[in-house]
Amino acid sequence: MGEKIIELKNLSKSYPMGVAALKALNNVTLSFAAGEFAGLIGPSGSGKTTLLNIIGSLDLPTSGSAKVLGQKIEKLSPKQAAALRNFAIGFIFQTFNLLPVYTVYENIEFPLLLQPQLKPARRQAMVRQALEWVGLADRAGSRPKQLSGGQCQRVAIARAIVKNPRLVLADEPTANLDAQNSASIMEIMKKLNKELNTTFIFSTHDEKVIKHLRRKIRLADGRVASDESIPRCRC
Amino acid sequence: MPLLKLALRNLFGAGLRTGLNVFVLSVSFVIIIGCQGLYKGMSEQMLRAVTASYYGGGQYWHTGYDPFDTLTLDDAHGRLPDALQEMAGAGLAVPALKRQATLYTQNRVINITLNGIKTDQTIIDIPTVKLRGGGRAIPAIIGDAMAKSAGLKKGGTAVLRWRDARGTYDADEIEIVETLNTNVNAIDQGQVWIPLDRLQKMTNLHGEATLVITAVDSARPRLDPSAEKDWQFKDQYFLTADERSMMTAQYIEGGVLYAVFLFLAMLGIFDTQILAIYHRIKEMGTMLALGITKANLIWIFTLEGTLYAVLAAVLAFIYGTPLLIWFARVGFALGDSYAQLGLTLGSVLYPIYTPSIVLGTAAFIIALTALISYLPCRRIAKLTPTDALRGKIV
Repeated sequence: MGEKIIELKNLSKSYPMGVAALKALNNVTLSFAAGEFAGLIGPSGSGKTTLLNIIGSLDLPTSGSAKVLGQKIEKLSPKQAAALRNFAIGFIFQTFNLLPVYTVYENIEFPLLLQPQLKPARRQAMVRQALEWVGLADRAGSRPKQLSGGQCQRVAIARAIVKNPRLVLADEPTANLDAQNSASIMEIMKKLNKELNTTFIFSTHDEKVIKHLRRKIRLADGRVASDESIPRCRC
Repeated sequence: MPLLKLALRNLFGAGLRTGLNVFVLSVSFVIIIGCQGLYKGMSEQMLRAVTASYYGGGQYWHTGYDPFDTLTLDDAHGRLPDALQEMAGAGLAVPALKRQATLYTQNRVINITLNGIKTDQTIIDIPTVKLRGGGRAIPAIIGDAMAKSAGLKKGGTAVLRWRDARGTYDADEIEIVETLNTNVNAIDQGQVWIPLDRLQKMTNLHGEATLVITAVDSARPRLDPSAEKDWQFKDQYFLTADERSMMTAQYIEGGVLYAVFLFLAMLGIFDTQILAIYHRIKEMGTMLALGITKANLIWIFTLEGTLYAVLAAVLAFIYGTPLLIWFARVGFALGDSYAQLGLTLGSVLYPIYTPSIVLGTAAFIIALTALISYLPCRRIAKLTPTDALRGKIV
């Protein structure tokens, strides 16, 4: 088991709904170690995406604390949260969220451009390597609309891992993909997890993803219903 | 952070959308600068015309002279001081005597101002040389508009009635020896020009004048204190006050047109930026998720909008420069309507484009574009990244 990179304690999140409040997360306590390949599993409305957003410093908890990579999310300023996302966390979205006017290369380069200390040559090398990882080196000049769904998601993966983040958060990454593309995407992520020791946390209810997870955390009504781990294969 | 690089990527990546916005904005650039040039040309042409035709380099007015008070006109005359006489003798000034008179023509009675002017003068653009000689009738020159309203033409005659210095009425026949093709109202409507010596004789005002028109760029003579009390110098700025205020009124009217063009120009950018908020909100949410700060996000989109204007200025420069140069040479044909409005313009209006018009308009449009790009972008700052990712507008 690696070092704990995420510690969530009594985490709750409510959204105002008229006079009442909708409790998306209710007293969640969890921790994740470096190198995990874990998934938040549950039906729609169970709080998966909310939890992922808080871990990713995109949202703040209503109560409780979330410590991610040594930083308390609820204490971060917007600028510090942006820096955390830029340097240490990669995001993969259900709808790919590629920047439509950018080429594949430019989409992958975008997070690196936010890191001014990177020299252009180093940046270029990192983008090329990310393209190699996802097998899209020959599509660097294409625009998202010229790619298939599977290719788009591979670009999104490359964009998430190009900066060598310690943590990648994937929100329903296969929801818009067919079985073949889903399997391919999962294989790429498993390979990156193994080779780079990047921590992957998924939010999913897709069996095609669930079967690849080594840790399955089931959420129901904003609570942790079960937390089951499969030991890493040493083969 | 290379914000400019990202803004340029957004701009050029948008392809056709950018092309159309830049083109529309560049057309507006050219039209706005073209219109500004027309007004500048109109203003210059008007001032040049009134200066050449009547105001010269400025005028010395007898202290009793008030161009807006016809009742005191007959009292506004005096002997020229020595300095002004010397100036007139040297051909650097021309005296003019103005009297109230009545013209009887075509069964009409028309109140006019009778202007006596030296026939050998070359200071103003009235062909006074034509007033020399003639038969028994008093030779007179009138403007086209005056000829039209009085029903007179070259060679025509009319009866003129005036009062001499003592108030005695007298009358004689005048013959129109020339009609002036002029747009300067001050020498046309209600004005009859006759030889100065003849008018002085008719009114018993020998050696006297109402005003003295000086040549453009002539040095002002030093008048002795008593002469300075009776003769006051009115410079071009004072004399052209009416024309300038008329131009200001026209400029304000033109301002509406200017605003319409500017509005159209801004619409493209504003549309792009506003639509960016609604259509590109997920894009912005993605950028926030990837670690961009809100301040930098606002900068990128503001820069993107501003770059539209910069590119439009470059495009406008490329095709607008030859177009506007050609327009400045060929000019803009004016109909009769402008003359009827009382504007002193020729039949063709030549636009004038000064660096201040071109650079000022460009700077103004670019600054305005930056502002209208910034304002909608500010709304982004109110979004949380999760709202932006969901495409939810605040």
